[in-house]
Amino acid sequence: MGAEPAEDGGGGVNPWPYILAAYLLAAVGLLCYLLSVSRRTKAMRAQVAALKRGSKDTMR
Amino acid sequence: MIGRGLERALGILAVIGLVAGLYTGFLYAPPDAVQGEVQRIMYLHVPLILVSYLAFFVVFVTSILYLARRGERHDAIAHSSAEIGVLFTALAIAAGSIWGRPTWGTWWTWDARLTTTTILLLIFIGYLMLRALVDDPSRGATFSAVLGIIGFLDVPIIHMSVVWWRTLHQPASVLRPGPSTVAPDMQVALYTNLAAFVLLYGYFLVKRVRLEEARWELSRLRMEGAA
Repeated sequence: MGAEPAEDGGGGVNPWPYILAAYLLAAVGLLCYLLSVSRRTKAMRAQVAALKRGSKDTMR
Repeated sequence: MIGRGLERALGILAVIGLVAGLYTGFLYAPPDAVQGEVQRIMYLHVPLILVSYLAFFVVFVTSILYLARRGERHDAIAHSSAEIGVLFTALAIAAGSIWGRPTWGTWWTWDARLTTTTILLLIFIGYLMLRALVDDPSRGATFSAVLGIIGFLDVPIIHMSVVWWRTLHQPASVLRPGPSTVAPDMQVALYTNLAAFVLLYGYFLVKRVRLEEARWELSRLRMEGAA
């Protein structure tokens, strides 16, 4: 006789809020990190470009 | 290091992998016979922690290479990988905690596996703080390389913690001697998600190393300007 899978883990708790919370938290965390790296790189490159422009102006 | 085209391809492959992972995790794999639907958090939690082990292994190897050869690129990879490892470990702990509530009846317990994983997270948060606090970049890189090597030694302790101590956490189901204890349909979902997260780690690493390259260029220009 095969055991029927328990929808709620046998504890009488609705599992879906927990599943959604875990996946949403991971998605938000990963996305925020990606945005943070892109923003930091952009800011760093803007500073590099500004310094290069500045040194060209000085040479003139 | 790696071309823009390859970086983009890695990103696209990671997204495809994650979509395939969601499909296999939610639609292909059956619910667990004991835990029911909530076990689907495993397809997130296990890949996150395994990829964080990979990230810290990369820190370990590149830190040894940095101490041996003093190459800036090795240091950049170690620094970048440590940051990504911290993110993945924190998310794995959070996902595990959310999984623990309906299955163990608690968000958190000072179980050996959970405690040693928290120690790993704290070691590498310390690693990132050390890098930020030491003014001389060369000294900061040396100190953090030593910490990165020592920090990685916690990974085998975490892995063996479920064997060495009596814990609430289940024994290893993937990195273990002998056949996997996971059902074949569930293995498909688990390994698809693992591959997707490895690709995502690779994509993050390439992007994060590019930030370090921009930082080097900025400091080189500043030094030239000061000279």
